[in-house]
Amino acid sequence: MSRIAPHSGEFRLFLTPAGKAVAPDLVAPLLPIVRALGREHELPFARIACPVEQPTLVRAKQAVTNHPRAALRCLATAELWRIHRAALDGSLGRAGRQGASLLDLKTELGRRMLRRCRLCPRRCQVSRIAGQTGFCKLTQAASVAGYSMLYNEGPLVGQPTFGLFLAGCPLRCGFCYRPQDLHPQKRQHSSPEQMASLLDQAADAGAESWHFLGGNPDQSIVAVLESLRHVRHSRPIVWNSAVYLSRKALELLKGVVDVWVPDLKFGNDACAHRLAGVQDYSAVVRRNLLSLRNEPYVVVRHMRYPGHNLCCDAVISRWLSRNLPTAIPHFFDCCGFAGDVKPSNSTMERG
Amino acid sequence: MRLPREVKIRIRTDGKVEIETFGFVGEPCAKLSEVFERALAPDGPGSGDNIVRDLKPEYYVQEQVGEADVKDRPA
Repeated sequence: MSRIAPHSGEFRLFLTPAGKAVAPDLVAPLLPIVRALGREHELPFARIACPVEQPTLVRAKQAVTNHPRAALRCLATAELWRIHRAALDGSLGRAGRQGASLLDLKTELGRRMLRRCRLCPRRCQVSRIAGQTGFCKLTQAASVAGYSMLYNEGPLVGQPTFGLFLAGCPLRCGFCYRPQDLHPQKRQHSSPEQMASLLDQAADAGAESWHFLGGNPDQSIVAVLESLRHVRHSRPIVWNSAVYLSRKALELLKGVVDVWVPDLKFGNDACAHRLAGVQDYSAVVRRNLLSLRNEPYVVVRHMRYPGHNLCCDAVISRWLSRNLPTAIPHFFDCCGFAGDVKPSNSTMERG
Repeated sequence: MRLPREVKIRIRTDGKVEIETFGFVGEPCAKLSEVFERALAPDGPGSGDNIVRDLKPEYYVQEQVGEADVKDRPA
């Protein structure tokens, strides 16, 4: 098989007793194996166009304010948010070409949020800018745990989509199938320029979209936004996350992300607490999902876990049909896991 | 009972591939690693034909002993 894009990382494959191969992340290097041993009728490998005609990133890079980028540092945070809201609403007038872009505004706001990090409801309030780490163990740099062209990722994302697996996560789901991505490794830290280079190489190699996942990419929002300022190409941006993040962090993603792929994992707080170690799951995630109501491309994923048909699968299905009727539900079965699961031991770790 | 077996494939930027197999010991583990390494080799055939030919059930199917059928048990 030809190596059409860079790839690196750890990827899992499950061999069923019948000799079939199942790859939770179907990355380019595994294609020959899954093509030979997988259930082919379920796995289309052909190129599939992403339905997004023009990536939002193109507009996000255009000037929206007459303040030059360097001047943003002098503005009050409240004023930056005001300009940001107006830019998203489209209520700002024409700006000079030297003015800051929406992406510049977002990165400045994001950097300020990292000074006392409240990106997610864990609200560690550590200064990630100063190198401190909270629950997710990330500083301001993203930790790239793996990357490859991805196949069979479901509707709207296009195929192949270039997956960038970012380590760090606010949840500790006992059934996580990429537990190696929970804890960022220093050797994986990537600069915005390095990430931009990977994204550009993938675009050159034919990626239909840039797909941020993990782990969980929400903790690396600022690093991702910074990297997007350096890319030469533009591709639709797919954000596949737990959406267990603060309102303001979600605002930073709007106007840059094209296809939202949130994971709705639990139908109630009791299951979320028992399996992922968080108390306020439903309130946070449902609030965030509701705020995506007006986004044109939303695919809500849910991994069905044995024994949770009534408490999670049915509840999620009903909630989605009532509250997010335009979102595409993408339910799939977990593979390769069995037995009781508990949140990982590090659930209560902080700092 | 028989459960899916897990293979962790570590791919490095220089094209080097490392295979880690879970729940396998001894020769079956070594054989399984060999088969995957051949299938994933950057300069290998890459068509998947070799894995169909080389992958034998005895490399990856093992009866689980002393473990209840947990598939439908509430988590």
